[in-house]
Amino acid sequence: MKNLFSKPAYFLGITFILFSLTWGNEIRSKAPNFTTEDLDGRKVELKTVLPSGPVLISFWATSCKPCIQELSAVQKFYTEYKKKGFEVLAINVDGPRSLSAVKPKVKGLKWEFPVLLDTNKDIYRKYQVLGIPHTVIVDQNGDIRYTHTTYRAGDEKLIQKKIDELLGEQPTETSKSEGEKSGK
Amino acid sequence: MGNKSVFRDTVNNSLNMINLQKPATDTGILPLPPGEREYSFPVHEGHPLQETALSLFAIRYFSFIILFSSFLITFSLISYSAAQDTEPNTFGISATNQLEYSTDNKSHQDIFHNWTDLDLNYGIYAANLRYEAHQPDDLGKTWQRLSFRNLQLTSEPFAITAGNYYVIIGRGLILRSYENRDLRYDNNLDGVKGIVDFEGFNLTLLGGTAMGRYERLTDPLQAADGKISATDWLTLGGSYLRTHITDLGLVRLYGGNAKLSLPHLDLYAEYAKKDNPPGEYLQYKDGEGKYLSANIYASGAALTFEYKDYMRFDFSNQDVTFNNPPALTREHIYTLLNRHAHILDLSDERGIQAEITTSPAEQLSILVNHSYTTDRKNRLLFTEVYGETEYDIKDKATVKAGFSRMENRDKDEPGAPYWLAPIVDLTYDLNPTNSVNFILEHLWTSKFEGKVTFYEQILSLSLSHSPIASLTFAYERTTEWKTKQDWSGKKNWFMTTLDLTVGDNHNLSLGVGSRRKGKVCSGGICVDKPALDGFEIKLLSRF
Repeated sequence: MKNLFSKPAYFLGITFILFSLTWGNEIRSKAPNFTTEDLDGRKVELKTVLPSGPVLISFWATSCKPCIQELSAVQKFYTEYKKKGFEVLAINVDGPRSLSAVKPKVKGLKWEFPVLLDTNKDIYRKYQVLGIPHTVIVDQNGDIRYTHTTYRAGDEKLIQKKIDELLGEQPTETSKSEGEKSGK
Repeated sequence: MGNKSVFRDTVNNSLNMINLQKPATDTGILPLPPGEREYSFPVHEGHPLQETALSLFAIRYFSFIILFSSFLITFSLISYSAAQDTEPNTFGISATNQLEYSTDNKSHQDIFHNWTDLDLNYGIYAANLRYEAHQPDDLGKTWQRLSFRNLQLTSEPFAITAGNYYVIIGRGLILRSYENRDLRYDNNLDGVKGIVDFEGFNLTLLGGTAMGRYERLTDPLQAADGKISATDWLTLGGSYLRTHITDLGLVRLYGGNAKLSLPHLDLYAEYAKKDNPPGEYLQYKDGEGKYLSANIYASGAALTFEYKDYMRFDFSNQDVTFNNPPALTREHIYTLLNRHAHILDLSDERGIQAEITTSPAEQLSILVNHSYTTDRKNRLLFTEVYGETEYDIKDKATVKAGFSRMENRDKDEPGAPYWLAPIVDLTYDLNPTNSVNFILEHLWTSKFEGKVTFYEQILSLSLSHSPIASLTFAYERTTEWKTKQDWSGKKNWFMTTLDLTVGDNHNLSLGVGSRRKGKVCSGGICVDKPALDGFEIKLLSRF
């Protein structure tokens, strides 16, 4: 600790702490589009799902206990919200070692939302995920409206509140035309 | 620091040792002119690889040049077609920062890691940059650099990346390039990758050099991977890869895979062969890898069965391991069970893993897992039987109990140990935003035919308040007076960690106390994490 400021990376880190504490909370960057396979090998593309309503993207793995707790908590309100246009894309980041355990795990948990595979973490990197569980809520315009890393029991209430807010908003013309373009 | 990484390098080391122990003339290595070390691999007289430096250059770089030229042509064509598109492009920028700092009161050692990632997007173009600083890293080395930079162009059905990238072929038998920051592992490739994905047909062509722990290899590799979905339920694939291994020569891998998806059955099979240059040692002979996975589903139950057979299939150069096939051992979420994980040895191992999951009642789930790995002489390397049951008391509590019996004959586990490990994991929801979690891990060890027995315990209590904070107290104890992992004589460790969510974009973790040195494993690769007796801070930020 003696030469704290003589080391550039330390200084960089401290700058980042100050920077992050002063930075606003609202994130409105565009959600990167992606195409990947679901558990049955069908291709799913984000931009074809967006026009129907807000999408919750959740990164998880079979060995991540809080990830499973979070998605199981989301499942409790998924069926009701799906009717309003809400969708969940649960992106599994298990590597080749535990890939074969993913589908049995999902069947056992009785999740009804699509589970997508990201075996070499390509989507994980696109979304700059630093740890799981990591949740992203994307609105119908394709803007990222909420991100959250880690899960504590009760966090699903906050997620539900954010989705309620987005379901109250109307889609813009851009998202409508994108949906028409993609044929959905 | 004195800590030592436990990368899967058995064969790599043995190859290097053979070359060191025997004079060059004995091993058949041709005398080389000074400064030509990069072409130094054992070649017998008369072998086709005994060529001039010029032809070697052509072999090694020709396909790379072709690939790069193709990239430039395709890049221009896609850029032109994108320019015709009247849809407005939007510019996006996002950044993240991951900082980890710890200071140890006893060793007076500071460890600092910082990763800054910056992504830029404009229409079909994207650029990724990463700056890393380690001052010092876990091994005591100080370094910082721009470790990752690339330019991507995506216009369906094409995607091209120039610069650094990651890739996996099949289930990783032939090639897996990936990053795992927990293991401080990153073998990204630097070169060009092109993908065509159209109507059930997928082709990936790539070329580049792989990153080692501190230095990038000079030998480029080239690979092609194709996949075709003949029907909704059948996909067939094939791959080819070639590269030069320092001190060995041209190595080629090729293989095929098939995937079958039916309503109650999923099957995946992959076979890969590795061609080495001929040599007088067993390690230089050709190798092969086989992997099979089957999932069967029936009325609330699922059975997974996997089979592996790896023979002389280690594919590495210096400190870079190119492939990472499935290890077929369970990846646990509990610390003590993961501490004695099997380290995959691709030179000689085969085995099975079977797992059954079932939910006999709505709130009850049961899992049973068995893995068994031997060498080709049927000598046991690793086996485990693990059972777990979980009962969910709706919106009130979750009760989980598990039990494991493991045997590990890895070379770094002396005394042929076996372990018995009961686990209890309880979560109680005080109200919709507050909960308590208690975990008891107990690991009983017996080795040297029962002459040495001891146990280790971890007790952890977490209090969490959604969505802001959680506080964890973790206590570990052992009755072992001296262990291979920790020779300090210390028997008790206590750590307090406060995790805070700051706004939507920042996660701060502060830890004070002591934590035991131990193995952290993922995907058959393990590293020893240093002990801590002091303070640590972790900060994840998004901008």
